Amino acid sequence: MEKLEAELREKAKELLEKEEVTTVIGWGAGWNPAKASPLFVRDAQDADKLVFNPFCQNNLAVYLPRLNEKAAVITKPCDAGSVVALIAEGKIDRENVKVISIKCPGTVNPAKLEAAVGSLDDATAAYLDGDTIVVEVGGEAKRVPFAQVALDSCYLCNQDNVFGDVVIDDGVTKVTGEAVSVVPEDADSAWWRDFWAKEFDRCIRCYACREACPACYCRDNCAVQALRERWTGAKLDTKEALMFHAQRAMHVAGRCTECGSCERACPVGIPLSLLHKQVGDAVRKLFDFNVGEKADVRPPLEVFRKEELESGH
Amino acid sequence: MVTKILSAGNLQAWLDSLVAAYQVYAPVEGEGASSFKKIAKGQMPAMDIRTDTPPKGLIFKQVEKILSFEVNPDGITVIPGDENGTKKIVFGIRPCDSRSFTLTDKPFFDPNLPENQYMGHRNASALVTTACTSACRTCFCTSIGGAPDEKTGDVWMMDIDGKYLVESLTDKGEELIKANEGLFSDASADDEAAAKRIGEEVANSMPKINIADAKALDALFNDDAFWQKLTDKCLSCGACTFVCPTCYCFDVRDEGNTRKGERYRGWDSCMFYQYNRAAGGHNPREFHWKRMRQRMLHKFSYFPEKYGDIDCVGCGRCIRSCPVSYDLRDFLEGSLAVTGAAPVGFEKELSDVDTKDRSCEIKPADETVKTGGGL
Ligand code: SF4
Ligand code: SF4
Ligand code: SF4
Ligand code: SF4
Ligand code: SF4
Repeated sequence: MEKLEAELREKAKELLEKEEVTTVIGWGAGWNPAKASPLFVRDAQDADKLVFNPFCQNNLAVYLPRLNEKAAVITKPCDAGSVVALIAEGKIDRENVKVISIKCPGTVNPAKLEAAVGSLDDATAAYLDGDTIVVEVGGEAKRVPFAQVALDSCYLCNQDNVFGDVVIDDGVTKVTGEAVSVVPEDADSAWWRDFWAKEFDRCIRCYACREACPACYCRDNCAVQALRERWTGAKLDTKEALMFHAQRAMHVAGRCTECGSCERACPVGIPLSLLHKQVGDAVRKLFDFNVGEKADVRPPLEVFRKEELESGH
Repeated sequence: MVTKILSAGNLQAWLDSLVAAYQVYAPVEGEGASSFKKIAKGQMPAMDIRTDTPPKGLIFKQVEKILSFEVNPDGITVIPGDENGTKKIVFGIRPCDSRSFTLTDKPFFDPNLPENQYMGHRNASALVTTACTSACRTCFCTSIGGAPDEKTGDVWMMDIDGKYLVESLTDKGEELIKANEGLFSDASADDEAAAKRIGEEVANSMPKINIADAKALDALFNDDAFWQKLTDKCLSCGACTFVCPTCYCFDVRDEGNTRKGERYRGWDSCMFYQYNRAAGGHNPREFHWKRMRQRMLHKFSYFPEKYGDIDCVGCGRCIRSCPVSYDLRDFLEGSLAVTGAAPVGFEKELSDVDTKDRSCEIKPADETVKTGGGL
């Protein structure tokens, strides 16, 4: 991991010194050792503040459609998929973006880690030690197998063909494990209705999920907040929250890479990934399309194909 | 006012008697997030947690109907919203959260512009504050003028070694104790000394941040580079302001049609792009760093200038909930470093205000300056 970090810093320094980009977006230390925080490096001498570890959760692709400068972005293989999807949608100018991809060991799911070791708020250190995540709280080192606390998507992540202008491969082994789903095998629409009613009941409509999502770049035109047509009501209730989330899920259908950024952003822990996986499954089934794979194919719901009409879709 | 001892064993009995007479809200663990919820008879609140969401919404409702109207043959009938709050008790609220209501009272109880519904809910509520016997890494109440044992609210209590020292601070609070006198015993000087010692220990365990004064911070207004650097990573969502006990921005929306409808007041956030957008599309805070500047300066400069107190209670929720781990303390420390270099007693001239940042130049929404992020 140290070697990887060193290479990363070197590359960032080089890009800034040669003035190929004006900023390198990566991760730096957060206020809490179990939370890395996005870092915009604008001076080569600050490149040494870049870090990489299993706590680098943020999908940094989210910043790209917002910038109008030449930027390099550091991506995990899953985040690189978001960059590909944004290029496919024409939302970022390929010329202005340099992608530094890292073959990564996997990322910690903070909710799983908290369930295993308790609140991370008072952690004084957190790191990967071999195949174990160590969290130090109050002088005590709590250890838990990484395989038990990684993001579900990490278990399925395939890092063979990683997109990037530069790919940093330090030979780290990726975490393996089994996703444990809260969804019963025989979940029917009634189960899902009750499940989402319970979950969205606590949504505070802060829109952190939307802002953390690389596919949600509508800004002022977002259907739920635009000053013109309003598609959700003023009242704060489960029905309105459901309306917002159903709408968002449909708007990102075929563009969502299931990166989990929305779920990690939610201050009240709503398992949004389950919603986006459901929609993703439908897209894969209906259109035989994998988001984030090809930069030159427009997302399926953005194009009209006569065959789709004929095949009854 | 009275100071008493409540044994840990009698806490449930006291709560039950309060539940019988009032709606009682207290910290409750929940799936995904902890919050203040209405408790039932026999239910013990989670007295040792700091809730993920603040108790703010119990008094300053997230969404509230402020009036309804109907056009009829004789004119328009307007029915105001309910200004008489339901009697409720917010139990087990931390000193910082308790203090937050005293701050929000300042603008909403302003005699020139009273917020009747807020006032109604506030007057009908009693706050039972539980002093903190430990602080967590994001707590900084001692830096903004508060304390882990600050005596604020209507009743103040502290866990001193398995029993509670309980003190009434207002008549309202005294009533809550007097009605249940049998459950309490007298407090000794030793009990009070123990509470004082615990409070000091907790306060000493917290790092103290020095905060630049309101005027010095206001002088930072035009330092674009400072705000841009500070805000680079911010996503401009509403998480920090919605979990903040002191943020009180709101929006008003009508629902219905031109003949019959309802008007709602709901939380808004200065971090939202739409917040400042005016008719015609002009947005004076079109970049995220200008919105961050508003959030920071409102809390640490404008509010204290106007009302005397910093509009932040140091609860640390914004730090814990931010999806990109933006740490407000970086602003406090960073601004002190910058303003520290400015001449002491620097007074901003009026002419300084009228510079490019407050000009009415209209820029397209997606245009960004080179060194700043976009929206
Ligand atoms: S909807 Fe959620 S999972 Fe899908 S791309 Fe956006 S942030 Fe990632
Ligand atoms: S981040 Fe969570 S609470 Fe906020 S709007 Fe999204 S789902 Fe709701
Ligand atoms: S900031 Fe922390 S220590 Fe201070 S009153 Fe709030 S919860 Fe207690
Ligand atoms: S500081 Fe954090 S929580 Fe607040 S708007 Fe920015 S990203 Fe959202
Ligand atoms: S600004 Fe942050 S620390 Fe201050 S009161 Fe609000 S949430 Fe708490």
